[in-house]
Amino acid sequence: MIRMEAIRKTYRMGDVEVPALRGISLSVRQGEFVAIMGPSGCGKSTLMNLMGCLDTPDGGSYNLDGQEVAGLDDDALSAVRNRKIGFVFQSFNLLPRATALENVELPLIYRDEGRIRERAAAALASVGLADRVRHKPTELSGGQQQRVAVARALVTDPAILMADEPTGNLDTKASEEVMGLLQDLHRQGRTIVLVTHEPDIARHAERVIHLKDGQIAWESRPDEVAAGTATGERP
Amino acid sequence: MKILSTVRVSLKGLTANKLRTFFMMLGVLIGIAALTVIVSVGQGAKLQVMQRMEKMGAFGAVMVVPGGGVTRGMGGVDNAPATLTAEDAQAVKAELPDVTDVALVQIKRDVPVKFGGQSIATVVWGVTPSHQKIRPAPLARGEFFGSEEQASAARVAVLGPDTAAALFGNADPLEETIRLDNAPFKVIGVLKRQGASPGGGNLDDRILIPQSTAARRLFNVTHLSQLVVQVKGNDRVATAAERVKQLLRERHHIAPGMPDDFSVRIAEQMLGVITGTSQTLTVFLSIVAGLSLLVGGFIVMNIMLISVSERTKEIGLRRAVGARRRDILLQFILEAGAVTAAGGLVGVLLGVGGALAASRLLGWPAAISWPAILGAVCFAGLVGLVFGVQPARKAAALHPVQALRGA
Repeated sequence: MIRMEAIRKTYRMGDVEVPALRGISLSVRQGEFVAIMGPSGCGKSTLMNLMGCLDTPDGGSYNLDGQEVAGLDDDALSAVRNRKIGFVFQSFNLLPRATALENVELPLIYRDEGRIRERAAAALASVGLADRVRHKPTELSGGQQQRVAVARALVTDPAILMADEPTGNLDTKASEEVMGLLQDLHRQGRTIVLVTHEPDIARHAERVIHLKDGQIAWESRPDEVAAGTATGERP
Repeated sequence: MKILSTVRVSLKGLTANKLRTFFMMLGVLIGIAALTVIVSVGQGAKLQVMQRMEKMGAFGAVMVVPGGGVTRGMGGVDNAPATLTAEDAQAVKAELPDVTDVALVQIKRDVPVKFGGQSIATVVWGVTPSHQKIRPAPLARGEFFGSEEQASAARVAVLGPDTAAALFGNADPLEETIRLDNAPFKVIGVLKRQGASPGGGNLDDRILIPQSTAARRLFNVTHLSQLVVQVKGNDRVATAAERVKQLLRERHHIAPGMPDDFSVRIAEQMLGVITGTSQTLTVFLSIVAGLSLLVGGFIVMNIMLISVSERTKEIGLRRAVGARRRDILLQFILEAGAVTAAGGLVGVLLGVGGALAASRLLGWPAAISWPAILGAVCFAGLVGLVFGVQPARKAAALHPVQALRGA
């Protein structure tokens, strides 16, 4: 589903070049649930942006769902994001004045297809919010807001679901609720990439990729992470 | 992305922040309202003058007055050059093919008029009966004099309503004898109220008598104050005026290159002279209103720029779920265009209301020009589009990653 080869990305800050990713190669299989972990500044947000086609790499190749996307232009990347990727953000990123239903409709507006309302309603129902379609984000709990965001990510039936610290703004109970939802989706065959710095959250994944200084440090099984053996240096 | 859903997205953006939308509308609303009032009132004033002139039969006629150059108002027989004669009038009528009739006019101001104990001074018009055909002055009572009275130089008079009221009060003036410069005249008619002439003179305070009577028995001059020439067909007025001019130059033995000793006026020209000032004022005020519209455009641009930077995260999200740069561009341009078009529409409604109120207040006909109004709304929308481009470009240029971060 995802195959990255020697991906590099460098940021310029004034005259200083800051390498964010220095040669990342990884692959994610169809239906896999992968977590990307690492301390802040390790490049996991940059990797997420590149995987989500929000940004382009300076070097390397990136094959997403059978399509080479590393060299695409802005319009083509927009189309790839719309067709193949569903985002879930830490801060939900819901339009505050729109209803839950309108928020979920948003990705469908940017493609020429019909039955927008029905499909958005179905997506909301699939995350258990069928009775909240007319609610504004402010009228929903944090967990419910993030479920609306998940519905918005799913409404286009994307190849990959990308969740960037999806529980970062949630309390423990709501976190479990959202992670449970992601696990359900995984069981239904969704491919999920999760970025987090919390081992508790990463343990829901099948496989954990650890980043350090813009490179893959090591990979582990979730039980190793949960046991606390893999939070620091490789044992 | 379909254009329709873009429009829907834009309208949603507008209803989301109503106060801001209102202020953006206000920016163009005031300019458009002012423009509508100014143009309507200006057109109304012009229309009023034209209606007056039309009522008086000014169109389709050529007027000749003695003296060269542009003289404003009406010269009397005692203060205008004595260059225009009854013979000129006969020649114009006899020799020019498109001329159907001519009217001879002699005017004298401040003629003392007496009836009983009342003594006033007013304007006396000596006119041939044909004047009543070319420039009809409707009668309230009695009748106008005809060719018989003209032939016999009869001492008969038709009074303007103000003159009749000044001399007789509420009494019936018909068949009474008044004295013009001590000569007795029988009142045979009273005019209907006409209001001001296109030039602004009072047509209700005057006395009309046969031109022959005026020349021989009252003014004792033969030269004319006006020669009114009726032309067959309104479209031939300009050519006829030129022919009248040539004929009179010949008759007056004016060498080529020398100035006329008379002036030929046609209604369209007079209209230009009369409405010229108000037109200049209208244009000037329109420019001021246009400038306020420009200021409104800058207000729109400013608010849109604020809106774009406040909605950075929204833009980032839209980009993340698949909006292309041009979708974002279109969304913000349409937002600005829709607001200003709506502002223009409300401005037009207010402006039309204002123009109707103003015309009622000033007693002018309201000239609401719908094509002009449509143009105003389109122009307002255009202001929005033009001034919305810069903020929209800024929004579209945002990088998705940075926009999502809210930077």
